[in-house]
Amino acid sequence: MTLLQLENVKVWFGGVRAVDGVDMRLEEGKLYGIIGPNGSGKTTLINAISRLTHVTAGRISYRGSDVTNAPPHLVARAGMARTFQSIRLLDHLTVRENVLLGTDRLGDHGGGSRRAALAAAADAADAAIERLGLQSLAGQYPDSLAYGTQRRVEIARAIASGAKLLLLDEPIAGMSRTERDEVADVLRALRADGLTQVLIEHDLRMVLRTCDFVYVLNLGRNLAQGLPAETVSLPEVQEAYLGRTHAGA
Amino acid sequence: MLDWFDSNEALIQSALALSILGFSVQLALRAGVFSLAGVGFWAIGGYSVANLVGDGWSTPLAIAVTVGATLLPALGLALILRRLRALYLAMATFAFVLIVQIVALNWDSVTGGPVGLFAIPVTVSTLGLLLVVIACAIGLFFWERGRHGRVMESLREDEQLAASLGVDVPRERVKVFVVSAGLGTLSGSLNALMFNTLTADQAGFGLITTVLMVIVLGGTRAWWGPLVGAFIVTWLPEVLRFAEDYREVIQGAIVLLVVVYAPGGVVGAVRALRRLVRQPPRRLLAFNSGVKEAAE
Amino acid sequence: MSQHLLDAIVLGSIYTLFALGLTLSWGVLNVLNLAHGAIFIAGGLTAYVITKDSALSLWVVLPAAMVVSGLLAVALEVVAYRPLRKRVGDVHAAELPMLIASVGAAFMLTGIGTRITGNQPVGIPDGVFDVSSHEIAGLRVTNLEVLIIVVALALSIGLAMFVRRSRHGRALRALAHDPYTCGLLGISPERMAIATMFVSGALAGTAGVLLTMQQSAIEAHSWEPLLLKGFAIIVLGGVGSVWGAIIAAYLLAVAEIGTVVYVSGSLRDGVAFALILVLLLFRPQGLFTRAAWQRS
Repeated sequence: MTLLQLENVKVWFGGVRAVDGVDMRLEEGKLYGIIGPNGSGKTTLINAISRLTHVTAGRISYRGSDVTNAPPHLVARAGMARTFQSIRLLDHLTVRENVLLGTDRLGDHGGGSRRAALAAAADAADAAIERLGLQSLAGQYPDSLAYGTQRRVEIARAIASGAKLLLLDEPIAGMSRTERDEVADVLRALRADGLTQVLIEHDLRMVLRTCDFVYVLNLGRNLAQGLPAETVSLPEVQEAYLGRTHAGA
Repeated sequence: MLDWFDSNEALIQSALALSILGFSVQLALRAGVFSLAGVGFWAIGGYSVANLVGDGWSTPLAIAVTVGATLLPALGLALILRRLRALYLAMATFAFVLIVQIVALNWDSVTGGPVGLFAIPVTVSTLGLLLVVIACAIGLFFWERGRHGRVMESLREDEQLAASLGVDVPRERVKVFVVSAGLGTLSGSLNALMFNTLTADQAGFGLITTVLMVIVLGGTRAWWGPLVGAFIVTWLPEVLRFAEDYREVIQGAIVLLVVVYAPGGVVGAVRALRRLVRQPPRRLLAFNSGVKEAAE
Repeated sequence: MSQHLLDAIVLGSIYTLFALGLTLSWGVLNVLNLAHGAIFIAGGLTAYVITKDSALSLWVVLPAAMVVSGLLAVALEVVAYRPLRKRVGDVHAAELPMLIASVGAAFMLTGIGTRITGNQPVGIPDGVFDVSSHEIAGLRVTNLEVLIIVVALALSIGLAMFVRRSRHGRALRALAHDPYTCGLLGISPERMAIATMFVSGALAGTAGVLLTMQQSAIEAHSWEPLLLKGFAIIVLGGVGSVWGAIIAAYLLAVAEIGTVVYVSGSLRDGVAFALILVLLLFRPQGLFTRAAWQRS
């Protein structure tokens, strides 16, 4: 089933055409990669999908409904979660509280008391923390954590929300090789659980190892798409990157 | 002990009434809503209950109806100002306060004009005031806790993040604005029925700076900050009595120094002390773990 | 009518000098400087103090007042605003602490001012500037009023052109946009901040002296009604826009005089406050968007 569909989506900021006619179709349960050189519009596209930025033209449908002009909190509550390029954790909350924040405004699922909902949320948060190997750090504050660890907390927060669609914007930047592999394992496990994921990445090794399908963007438009290995070796894709390949940085 | 309470009763009453106004501003500031509108509603609340009780209404009813009735204009104001942020919002609410003051100065039949209202019936006792303050404190205690507290925190720190986590940011901000206004109304109502006079010059720039001092000195990061701050601000002129003409200067200097060097106020200081006692300094910890890692 | 217009132009001149400093500190340095009013009064009080025992010429008194006010503003920057910006890091998050610090400073300065004036209105002796009345084109005008208008126009237009044309002016605009990049470009943000605050204070001090002479007397608290009007002016003109502040200042003066003459004297101050609210709702960027340094 098609979870997310983008039809000729354009996001313009005055004269700057960050996204200039992108089409995408995301099937449920798959792990997608979005790659492309800097400035190709990847982050703006994610911002548009998560509704943090306006859409100038085109259509975004989520689960069949048109969300092109929906406010961000609505798509979030409908099961979309995302991380950002920069670390966005709240300094005055502990790791556990930051992860819990992911569950806080999703409403109470189904009937059942508030207490049950809170307990379920706490369970989801703790499960996410365990999944990302953060149990021993749950009581710490973000400013005492390493960069890569902070990123893991953000991923945990996104997972804890119980989202069906995960948008991850360069989630492994600043991580060691080991950490990257661990995150790759987590993402694959999530896919096995049925989650749909979109990964913006520069680390092509990561993309090749985890993604089912890849979209390549350049200058705000679709450049190519297909299976990771084939697509990445297309001459036009290589040329777009022009010697800045990050095969395992 | 009782003697101290008796001789200082007026100060205690002032501090308690002021603390509710402090709660009003603190609650808003903590959610990133830079609203001083509570001060304007302080005046509206005071004049309203003074007139109602003067007409024979019972005090609890007068206060309840006043607070309830002003929620609607507060909602209206919140919606009108909803696109403003930070200093612009502060200025707009500042202007609102001063407009209320001008209306108060000119609406003689209701507010007594520049002369103000005197001989308002004193129908609020210190005990009653204390109970209301305790109720507010309890309310704030839960407001800043758990799920709701985290959402408020996200509103202040990172609105975009909050929105991406499902928080209906515009709606929450309006809610905070209205509750803050309501607390302002409550504070002004109690104040009028406790101190039996109300003049327009009480509710302007001076009160704004007073409540900002309450927030700064007490600290915004906990529900008890405004309470402590209100007592400090109320007692400061007493404590500084020896300085006579230089009282204002010293008060200003204290505020300046606290804001620059102890920004968390009393709350911040207490928490810093607690953390110092509980954990050794971070640098030491990092050194230790670094040594551990190198050894592995 | 034209006599009223003249009054409005004189008033607008004072407003211009006052508002320019505000628009500089807010537009360039992100500071809502509530101490600006006190610094304005400091100019007048300096003039009072140095002419108490000897009637020095205005050409000595005015520069002296400008220097004192300028230095006070610089002191604020060095003691409060700069450390705050450094500690908080994000310049927008520092806005509230800087605002409160300015409140503390305002308290201090007003306290000192009260001490100097002995809580009485004070003025400048006649020997400083010989005020003479003239009739030009059927209008009664004093040489003082002419001086006020000339000084205001000279300083304000001079500043506007300086900011627009000169290298330093460009540096100022760069600073408003991005202090960090400024530093990388070899422009010292700290030095520019000090220069900006000095000019801001000096202009306020000038206004203070001129108003003291025009009104014959001032008090330590005389700045209070003026401060929010200053903010109304810079919001109307567009925060950070020098031309905007100039034009808006005269517009406000005309509106105020008009209100006094045709509506009611007691509503005069309300004009500015209502203006702020209306503007912030419909056109928060002011009338002069292009020239203004935008604040989202």
